[in-house]
Amino acid sequence: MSESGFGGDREERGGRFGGRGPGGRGGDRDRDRERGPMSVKARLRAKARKKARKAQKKKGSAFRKKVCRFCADAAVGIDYKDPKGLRYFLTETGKLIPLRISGNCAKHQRQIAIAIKRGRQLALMPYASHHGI
Amino acid sequence: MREYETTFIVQPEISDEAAKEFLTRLDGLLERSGAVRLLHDDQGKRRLAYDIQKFQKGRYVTSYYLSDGSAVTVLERALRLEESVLRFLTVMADPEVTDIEARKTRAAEQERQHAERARERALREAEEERAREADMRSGGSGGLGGRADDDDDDDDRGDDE
Repeated sequence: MSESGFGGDREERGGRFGGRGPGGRGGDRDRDRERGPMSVKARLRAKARKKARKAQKKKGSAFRKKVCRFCADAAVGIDYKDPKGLRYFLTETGKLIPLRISGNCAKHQRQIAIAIKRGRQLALMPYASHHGI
Repeated sequence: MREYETTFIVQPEISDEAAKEFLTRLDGLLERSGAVRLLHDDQGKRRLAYDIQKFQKGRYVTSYYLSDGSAVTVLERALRLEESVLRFLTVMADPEVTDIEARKTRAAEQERQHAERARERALREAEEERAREADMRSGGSGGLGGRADDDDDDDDRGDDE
């Protein structure tokens, strides 16, 4: 019961979640390789990844790659004494905008974060603004 | 030699003469501690993002100087002891300056530009001040009821932003 029962369970699982069986598209595909038993969470994560991939494909041209503005234009410097230029990277309540949204590259996002924190110490940038609420 | 920049906020009520005197005192300190003074950039009065010691505005000054690092403690000590300085921050701008003379000449040029900017700013501020006064006078001469209400509205909106 122990060995064979386990294997059978795995096959059934493959049929339910893998869609096509091994060699579904007539190729020796990586995704058809023998895998160990997936945990429930791993299965859910895989499902979510697949869904996200599909959604992105569907969107197609609507999805635009963001470009770091400091990489694009070397002339734009990052200066903690320039609150106008840094304001763009803060929310209305004074929080830092993550690079996921601002589109900065990691290097420049670090520099921006440091500049904003210095500006805060000098009362050029807000720590928090309660006007936005 | 390293290049440092120290930005500090002076109380807005301090007069121009007193501020200038303070800067010359800092020059003396820098010289005595073996630093090369490059320039002071007086950026004028700016609105603070938050109140410091109940002040809403402050005069921002940035000092640039070359030093091996010993001048920083001397300068910061002087700033800490000076009551009229609300806040200061020192940042290393360049870890290694080899051509000191070249940097000095560039600093002189920068100082000229900053002085020009400061003059323009002073003119603009004077103009704004005059405009505000004229506005106040015309507001005062207008009808009391409707005028006053209108003014109130504008003020409220300004505060919210």
